[in-house]
Amino acid sequence: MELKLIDDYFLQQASDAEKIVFEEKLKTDKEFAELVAFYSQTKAIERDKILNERHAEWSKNTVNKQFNFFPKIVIGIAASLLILAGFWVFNFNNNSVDKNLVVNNYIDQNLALLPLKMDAVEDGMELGKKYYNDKKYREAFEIFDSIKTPQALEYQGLSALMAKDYLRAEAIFEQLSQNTELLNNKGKFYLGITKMQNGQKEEAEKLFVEVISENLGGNNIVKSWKE
Amino acid sequence: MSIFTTKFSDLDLITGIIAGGNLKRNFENKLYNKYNYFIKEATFKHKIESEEASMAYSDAILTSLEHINNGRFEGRSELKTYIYQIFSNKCVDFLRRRATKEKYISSIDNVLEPLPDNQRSAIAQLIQNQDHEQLKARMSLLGERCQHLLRRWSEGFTDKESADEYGYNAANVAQTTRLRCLEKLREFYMTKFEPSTNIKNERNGIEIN
Repeated sequence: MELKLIDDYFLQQASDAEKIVFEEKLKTDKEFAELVAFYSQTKAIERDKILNERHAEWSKNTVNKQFNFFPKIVIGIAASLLILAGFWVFNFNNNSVDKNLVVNNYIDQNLALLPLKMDAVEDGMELGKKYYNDKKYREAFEIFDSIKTPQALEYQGLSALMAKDYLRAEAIFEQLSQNTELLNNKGKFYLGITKMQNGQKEEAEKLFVEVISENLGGNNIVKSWKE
Repeated sequence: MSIFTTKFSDLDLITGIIAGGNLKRNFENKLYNKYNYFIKEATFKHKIESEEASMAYSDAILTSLEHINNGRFEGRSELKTYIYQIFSNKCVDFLRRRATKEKYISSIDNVLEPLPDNQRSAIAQLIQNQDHEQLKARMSLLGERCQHLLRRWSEGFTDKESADEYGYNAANVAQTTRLRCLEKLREFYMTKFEPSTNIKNERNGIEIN
């Protein structure tokens, strides 16, 4: 079957002997050459369709990104101002040092590594966790961003927190705290940690009080800090 | 909500693309975005319109993805250099074809890559003499499964992957099915008829399960 010979040759599955037969026939057999032309033309037309689809998709995304450029600058400036304000509050309240230390210890001991499944097939979640554990927080953030589950959202927020991108971490933990499907929702707890890291001690403490009074995820940890 | 402007390393991107799965597209898109500033450069360097440069860049990325997937990109040069070289060649090809007003199927050069150099142009010439529009019309008459198998073949999926998708026992069953689709397409292509009056019969005749 000539099409099989052509297909194997193009897919680089042909044996050395078959390659010699193919190349010889291509030189001497006009009908065979026309069959090769038909085969190639069909594949090229299909590939052109794919190229046009991908081009449309890629171009559209590029245009969207250009429109998104200005808001990102605004977000960046706002983030800088908030961080500056955070530093001011931190310096004003010197007595926050001990509590910061407690939170810092908690982060170092509990949030530096995410649990990997030893026998798991490497899916997006595991890949994201690997980046996180390698301290590639920005890469991990993007991976978790593409997975639409509450667990991924939590890890995405932690990636931002560990990258010291507190504004983004806050936005994510706010969103997480409103999720009603989670049994042990730590959104508000992490939001408190983020605010503490960002120098917003009073707001952080209010959140920790709510975590205990509403019996939310992380309440046992906050209680242990008060002991 | 992608708010970081992270640039993944080339190795990260290649690993993500080869790993496949549901993040493959994501990594492919990141690769496109990483070097799309080439487009603007090409409009000055090659004096071509932005949309033309943009299409050449998409083609260069698609080619690079094919080479990453089939192992032809071996990492001997940096990925950036590799893509730039392909992109430059695509721009030059575009200018040449525009100058000669040649009928143009963008993907012909890619598809003919496995052929020996001295025979590639002869086959390209044979293809130039074919009726592309008629072949496209005949392709649309194929059954859904045939169309899907041919598309996956052009996208670079292996017969093993198609066999898994359709529950065939082995890759060679998927290959045989795909080649039967091609044979049927050729029969249609070689037969002169009015598609509008024969579509129903042709469709019934070629579903391959």
